[in-house]
Amino acid sequence: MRRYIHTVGFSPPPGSPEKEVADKIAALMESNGNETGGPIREELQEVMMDKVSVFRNRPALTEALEKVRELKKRYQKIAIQDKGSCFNRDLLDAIELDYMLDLAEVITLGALTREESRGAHSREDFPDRDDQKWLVHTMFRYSREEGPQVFFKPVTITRFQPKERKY
Amino acid sequence: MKCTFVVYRFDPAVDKEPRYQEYMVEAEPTDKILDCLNKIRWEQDPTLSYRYSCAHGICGSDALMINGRIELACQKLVRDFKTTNNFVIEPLPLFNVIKDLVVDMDPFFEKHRTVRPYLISDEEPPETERLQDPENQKFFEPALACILCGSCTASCPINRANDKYLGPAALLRGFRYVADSRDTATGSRLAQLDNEDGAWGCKSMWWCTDVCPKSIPVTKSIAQIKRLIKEEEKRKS
Repeated sequence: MRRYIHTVGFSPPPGSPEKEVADKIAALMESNGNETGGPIREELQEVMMDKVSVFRNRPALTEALEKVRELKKRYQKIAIQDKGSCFNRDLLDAIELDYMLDLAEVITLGALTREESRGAHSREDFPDRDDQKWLVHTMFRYSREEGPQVFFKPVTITRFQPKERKY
Repeated sequence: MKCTFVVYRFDPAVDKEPRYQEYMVEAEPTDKILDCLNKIRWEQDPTLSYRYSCAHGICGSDALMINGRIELACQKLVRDFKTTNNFVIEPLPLFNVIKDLVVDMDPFFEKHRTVRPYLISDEEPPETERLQDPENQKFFEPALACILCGSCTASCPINRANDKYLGPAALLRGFRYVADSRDTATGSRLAQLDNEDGAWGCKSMWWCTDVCPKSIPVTKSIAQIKRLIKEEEKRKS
């Protein structure tokens, strides 16, 4: 971990991080869109459960990605019903849902990218483990302009040699 | 199946008085009460506020008054209640309501801090852990299960009459440390609890033990403090 921190580059920190959050909350509170968080969350749970569970394949993952991106679009029109500033769970849920959508997108993209099966990632269309090609960590960086961008980080092998698990 | 939920609502910014709001929820007998509250919030009324975190009876956030009895909403299922699918959900008694089902737990945690809920030892720290004698551990093990949900303190009739009384949860934590053989502050701990706002405030009404969602023998543990105080007195005289 220490070694990784020393070698990895940092993106410059935002100038005023608190402003970014305050703006985000203000935008959510003032939005008068026609979507609510509940149905988006429910549909997200459903698609991730049905199509991005342990057993996965390209067609289902592609459909899931489309669905997640559609939900992200719908999220842009979300409105907060609770306008109060005291214990506003509605607002908290909406902020959480935003992060859940981002995560769902990279989980699905990562699953699509990794064309092999390994541990709890079981691709029905690529049932074998492939250490030649996929002994790497899948990473994502995010920018507002380009969205999530995949990249890979080599695996540092220390005490345990990688080998296929046969139980 | 259809369930009726009558829920206590109070928003200090809008309401002068608390009110009750009725919701119809489509629930399975195996749904938790917390699931039903989530359904209300996600499907009907996002303005409803209540605390929860782990939803598995560990974090102790969602102690509520359910049909007049203090329970963890995440630990009780719809089928556990014989009230023909009618539910009345209210905040914990004793504490001040912040909003809807959310109460101010600050006084609870302040009292909890006064019992010094940490190990005090004037012995040199050993190279490794301070090992505990298994027999001694067995003696106070039930007290370790406390999740600080506040159910016991909210239910305690003494607490309602005397707001200085430490209350069962803080006393239970006090017991946990006076009983621990590794702790060397036992004398000052017992002295702190030796009064009417401490262990002697307890009149063994058993409500704390009755409501405890972790089945901790709270009343018995408080009685153990009383016993240890008396033993200490005898030893000194």
